[in-house]
Amino acid sequence: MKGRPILGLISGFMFGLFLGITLFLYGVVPLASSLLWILPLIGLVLGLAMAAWGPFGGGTAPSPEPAPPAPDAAEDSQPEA
Amino acid sequence: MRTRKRTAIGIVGLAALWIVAAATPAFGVTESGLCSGIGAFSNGTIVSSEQPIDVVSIVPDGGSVDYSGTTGMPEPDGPVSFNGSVDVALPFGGITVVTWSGETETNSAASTYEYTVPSLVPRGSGALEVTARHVQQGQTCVATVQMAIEGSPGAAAAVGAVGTVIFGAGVIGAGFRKKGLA
Repeated sequence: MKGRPILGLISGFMFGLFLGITLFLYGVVPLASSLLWILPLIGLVLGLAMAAWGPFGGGTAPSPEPAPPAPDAAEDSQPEA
Repeated sequence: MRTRKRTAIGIVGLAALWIVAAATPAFGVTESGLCSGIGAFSNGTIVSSEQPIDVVSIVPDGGSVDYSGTTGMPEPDGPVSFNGSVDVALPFGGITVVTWSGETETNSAASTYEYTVPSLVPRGSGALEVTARHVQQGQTCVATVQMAIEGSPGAAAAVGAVGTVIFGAGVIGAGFRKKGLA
């Protein structure tokens, strides 16, 4: 996975759980709504999907060291006697 | 990179629209049997067994309710047994808040019931699906209404909102690539 799956799993589940609780407490959904147990599962899947997708930029691979100059080029640069 | 970000935002937006659409409460009357009942709360709210299920009745968090009900059947010749309950639906199963039973020689009742709502029940929150069930003379009557406790959500709702934002940021953070991966 390109992203962070453990973070995605835990954050996704908790995001769905807190979202469901908040929607109920603010009167958006009734207590018996199936959303209250579906949202944590959706959050779980969303977190895993984000981790697998990795759409946001992270660290790049270190740039390779520059190659040493070729020996022929060093000899050509010497002035002729 | 920009295309991936736009697609990710689009998927989250569609999910949000689906959540709002799925939150719409069901419509229709849920009632069976010949019974009918009505309750008048101290804040003036009237709850009837015949009201549509999409109507949410706001009731006080304590006090008295004047109730009356009838089985809709002829008066019994002698004492007959009865029993009933009021249940509140939960995401998984439900809880019984009150039960009654006994014997009677009538087909109706009217009285005043004193109640208090425990403090752990949130105020000003989403609707509670309440089902009343009464069994008498071989008939089972069921009525379901939606009720909510008057008041404001309080600090619990704010904590829920903050938690949603924090863990939402965690979900976005899971989408950041690990170092060393292009």
